Amino acid sequence: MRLLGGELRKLVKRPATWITLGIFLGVLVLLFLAVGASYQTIGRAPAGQGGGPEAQAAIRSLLAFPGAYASVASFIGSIGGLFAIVFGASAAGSDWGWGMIRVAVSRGESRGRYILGKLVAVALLLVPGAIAAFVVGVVAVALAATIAGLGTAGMGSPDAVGTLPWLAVRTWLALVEQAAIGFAIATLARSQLAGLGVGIGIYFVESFAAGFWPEWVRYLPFSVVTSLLREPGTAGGVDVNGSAGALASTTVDQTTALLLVLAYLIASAIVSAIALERADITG
Amino acid sequence: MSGAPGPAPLAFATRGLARAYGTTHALVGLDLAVPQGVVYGFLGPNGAGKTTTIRCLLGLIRPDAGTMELFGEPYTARDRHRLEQVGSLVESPAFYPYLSGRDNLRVIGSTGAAPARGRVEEVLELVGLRDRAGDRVGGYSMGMRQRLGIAAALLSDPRLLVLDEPANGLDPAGIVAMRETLRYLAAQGKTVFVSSHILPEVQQLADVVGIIDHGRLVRQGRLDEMLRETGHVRVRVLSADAGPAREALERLAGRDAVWEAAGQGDGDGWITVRVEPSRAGEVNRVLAQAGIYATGLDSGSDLESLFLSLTGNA
Ligand SMILES: Nc1ncnc2c1ncn2[C@@H]1O[C@H](COP(=O)(O)OP(=O)(O)OP(=O)(O)O)[C@@H](O)[C@H]1O
Ligand SMILES: [Mg+2]
Repeated sequence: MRLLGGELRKLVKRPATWITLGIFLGVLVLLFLAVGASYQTIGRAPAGQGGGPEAQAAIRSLLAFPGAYASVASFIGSIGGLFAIVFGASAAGSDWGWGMIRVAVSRGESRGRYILGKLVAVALLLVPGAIAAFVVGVVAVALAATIAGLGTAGMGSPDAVGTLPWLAVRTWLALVEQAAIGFAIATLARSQLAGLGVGIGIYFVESFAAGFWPEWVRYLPFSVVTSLLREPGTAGGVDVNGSAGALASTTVDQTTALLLVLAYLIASAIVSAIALERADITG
Repeated sequence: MSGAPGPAPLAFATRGLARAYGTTHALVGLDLAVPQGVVYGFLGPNGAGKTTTIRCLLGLIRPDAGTMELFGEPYTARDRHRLEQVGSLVESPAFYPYLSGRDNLRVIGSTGAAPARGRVEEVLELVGLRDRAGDRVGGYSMGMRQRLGIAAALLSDPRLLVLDEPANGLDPAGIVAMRETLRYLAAQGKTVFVSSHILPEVQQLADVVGIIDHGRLVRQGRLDEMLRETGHVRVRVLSADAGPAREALERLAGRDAVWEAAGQGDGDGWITVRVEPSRAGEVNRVLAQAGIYATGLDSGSDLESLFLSLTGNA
């Protein structure tokens, strides 16, 4: 508990934590507002230029409640995943940069306990982080829907509201998994910058590869998040490429997705613990 | 307890400790014995392996060969929790730059052994940082960081304190305060293991010294005994008198104990005699009996000349 308290204190008092959250929330709001604002223009544009009723329908499925809840979650899980990678990598990597691993280990702290405590602190802080993103996202999507003239009917539908807790838990898990991957890479590389760079690199390579081998890529750590956050029976959902809708061959069912996400999360934790256990701490 | 005193209990010991970084052999069979309750000065030229030894002790790296003992018991990678009784400052002190000095000590205290209540304020006071404890460490001067590093090392009231060049960047008052703190800790029965390049400082501070070179121990023992052996008296004589003076002094102290400093042109020359400094009067008398009058005389014993002669850098 003392260890966890220390880790939480470090992260909460760190400006980078708040900057990461702030930028993400800004991107979240701007993107939804931009989509909302484009709704009418797109409706008037000819189909050949990406406009027309079909394009409008896609936007409607993003912004109209109750499906909009899933769009918010999916947006947080995918684009927010990038920010989660940054958060995880900087939590693990900065300790190397500042020589603080050395301080903890030479005080007799167990390496395994230390690194897992740090990962748990990251996961715990992602709870308020995910909640804040959810609240801000829902407000932004409601605004966007209003701007688009779609209204916010269905926002309070009991069915939709009932699914929210489980949706929020899945969103959080998606963020924790992606943060853990950045965390593990930074621990392996002993560097914040490397963790963040390699993590984001893999993220984009994965989404690029999804265009060629979707049936394989759907199982990979960043793509599987799309499947985890898709609401069964709705068309809602933004995949890593940001395109609306998802085909069965590019996603997996939710239970499989959940198990895969947990597996990637646990694997990241184990890799981090082993990497630190074996590391020479010099410099 | 039997009446006969056993061998002094050791705070830390190594036997045959070896460690290479790639092809660089930093330690090649190091045998150290650090008694409890002393200030141990750990000396050696740059690259001798001091920091490497300390890293092995602190569980930061694993030795390739050899064994270690901590507080009289075998100490391996599996016993790293016993470092909870060790406080340390290795090379430059490490902190979170965006946290205050106080918050840094708090988060450091969240690992390893829990510091006593109020201990953070106590050590801040001890190192004279109480006034600036609320400021971000990123804005600290080098000496202030060093002071905070010493505070962090003392945080959990360690039995063994390991300091790697702790005087780095300290101002004179800071050095005096640190010396007093370390002496005080040793008087309390704690062990202080300190590496340093400032030999006059070590000479004032240490009870026992160990000198290593090229990853091996070259000398270890009580400092006062070592200094007694390395005492010297130097006399300055006219160059014309140098030959007879030398002969007279060799009769006093033995052939090997007398040497002439390289002369500076045709002026006077210094002759050094390796005898206890207290025998300076005797040296002077021997010269006078030979009809030679010294134009200068001094005596002393210092760690620096011992260090230089042992590490081959004289
Ligand atoms: N991380 C490292 N990687 C490679 N070689 C290293 C590393 N650390 C130390 N060495 C090498 O090991 C040898 C011993 O280094 P060490 O730092 O232990 O010396 P030291 O006695 O502490 O020297 P100094 O007085 O300069 O601090 C040196 O030859 C050094 O180059
Ligand atoms: Mg060193």
